[in-house]
Amino acid sequence: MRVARYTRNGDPSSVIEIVDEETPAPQAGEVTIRMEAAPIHLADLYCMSGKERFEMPLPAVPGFEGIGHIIAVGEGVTSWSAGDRVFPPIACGAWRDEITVSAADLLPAPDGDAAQLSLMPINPPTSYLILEDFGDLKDGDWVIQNAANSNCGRYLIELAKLRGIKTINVVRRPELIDELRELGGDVVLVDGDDLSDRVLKATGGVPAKLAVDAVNGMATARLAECLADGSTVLAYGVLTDEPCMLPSDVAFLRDIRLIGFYTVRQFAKRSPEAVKAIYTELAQLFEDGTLTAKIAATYSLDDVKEAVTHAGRRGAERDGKIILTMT
Amino acid sequence: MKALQHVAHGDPGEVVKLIDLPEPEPAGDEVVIELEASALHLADIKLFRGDEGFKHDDLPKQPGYEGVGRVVEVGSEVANFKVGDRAFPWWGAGTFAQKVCVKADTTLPAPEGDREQLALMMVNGMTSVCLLEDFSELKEGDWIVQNGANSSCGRYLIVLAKERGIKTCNVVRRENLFDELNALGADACVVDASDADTLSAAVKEATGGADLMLGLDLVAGDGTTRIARCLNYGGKVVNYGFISGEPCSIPFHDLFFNNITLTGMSTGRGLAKRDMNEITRIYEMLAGKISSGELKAAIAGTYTLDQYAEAFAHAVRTGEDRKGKVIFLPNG
Repeated sequence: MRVARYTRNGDPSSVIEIVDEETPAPQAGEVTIRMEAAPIHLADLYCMSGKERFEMPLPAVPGFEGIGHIIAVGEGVTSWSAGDRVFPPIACGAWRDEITVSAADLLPAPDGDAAQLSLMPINPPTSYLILEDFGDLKDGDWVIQNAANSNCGRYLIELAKLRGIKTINVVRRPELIDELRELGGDVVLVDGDDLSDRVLKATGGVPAKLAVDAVNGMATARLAECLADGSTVLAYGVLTDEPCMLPSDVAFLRDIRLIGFYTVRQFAKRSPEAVKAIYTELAQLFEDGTLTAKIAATYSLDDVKEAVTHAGRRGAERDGKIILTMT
Repeated sequence: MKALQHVAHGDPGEVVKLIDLPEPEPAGDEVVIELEASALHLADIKLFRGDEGFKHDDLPKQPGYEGVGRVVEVGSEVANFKVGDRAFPWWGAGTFAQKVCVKADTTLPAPEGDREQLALMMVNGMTSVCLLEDFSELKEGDWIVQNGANSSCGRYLIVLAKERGIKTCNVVRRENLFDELNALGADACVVDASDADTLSAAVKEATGGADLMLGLDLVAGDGTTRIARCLNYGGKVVNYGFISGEPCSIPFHDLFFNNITLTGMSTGRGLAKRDMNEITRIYEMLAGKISSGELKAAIAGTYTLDQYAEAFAHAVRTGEDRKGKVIFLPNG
């Protein structure tokens, strides 16, 4: 079977290679999954290039998530059987044809488009938990986010709509305004120095109750200025190499705090049943078409070098997610 | 009487004027205080300049957050003060004047003692108490880390923390400050580093690897990152000033992996969550400690009101060039 791996850090398209490996037979408590699709995240590229704090033990197989179906079941596995569609565990190294993993860490996957569903384990819970756990958001409240055209950003628009929460969506490219409005974004604005004035104008003077930042640098500060006194800036992503900036006067005069979002921490506060219930709810939202990712291109695993090159582009040159398919 | 008047936003020496005002006449519930000393804060300078968040839309105004003086006239209904009593006017009385006329019920009694030191009680004293009380459940034996430790607040914090059995690790820019801060009761002193990991290692060594859940940041800019990096998982950075002039900066990964919170503090919010009994009790405690010399700020220089331009120029200098607080002596 094909496995995409890297044995040294460097430019992703140079260091990633396809090798042939034997699939280990499932031991007791394990299953073997035949992968259908797996997305390329920025974090995969950061790991391959060896960016600080993204270093992985080498050799490494990228792929934080994906979708597939079970083709073999080890001894003692009763809850799954061959043919079941599943999500393998997070950070399993999903860029391969087959993977043998513990049956305990699987999540059931619904029917539907493999490329879309391959994105379900990571980004949708992020957007879900941001809206659920922070800012005490109620029907009619405003939330502001930058990187609104990112995969998380788009899910956040769709999930906020369901809850009656209004979104102010900050983007860098004006051509995204109509697209994100169509997706359900209430206000879409191009980032800039006078952002807070334009936000207040668009919301009729109502400040946002939560700011969601994936850009960092002064973009964090620009979101903070749009908040009501006593509110929170939640940083969940890192699209620039700048630290998050929060002007002291905004922090102390207006009681704005800055914290980091980490899905694992929010899930850790919940029972396994509650986590499962969230995934069940999200799976339904995929099935009924409420949650949709923008997919820029799909590549066969054989073309992984081209795929990572495409995934490394920014802005209009990569309009959506890049998905690897194993069929 | 002479008073400073803030007439526009701009260069502090240009937008403030010395004017003559009629002698104030107290209403029934008011007292007139003749000021002995009034503290000049960086916040005053920011107001003069009209910095972001500090703009006045009701100029002209009489500046001056705080000071200490003697009651020279009392209104007919005033029972809690008599002529000759020493008093602190409440926040924002416009103390850059020879006299202020204020409500008696929000005026606090002041003890005898050094007028320049007492002039700093209202703002910096309360700020230090709020920083210690409002952000973390500190227990005896816990450590905190602060930068700007040689500031008035930083020095108060060392003394007030010590009294509560809380240990302070004090980050300063110059090693020649260690002796002074140790004499105040500092448990550890560290020279600020240019990068966060170096400072974090130095703090770890100085504190014997103590858990640090609260970091107080007066510097902002990368100073915020350096304090954040000293903290344990889940720790909180409380920013209360920005002597670097930069926005607070924290890398995403400190927020994400180490679950750091950055929050701002304002003494106004600290006051708002306390009732007047508690506020009075805190100010009595602070006034006593300043009067006895336990709480002592560094005084950079004293100026009369007509020397205001020099006073402002002195106040905006930092570090070795300033060495403490600038104080007005409105009546010489």
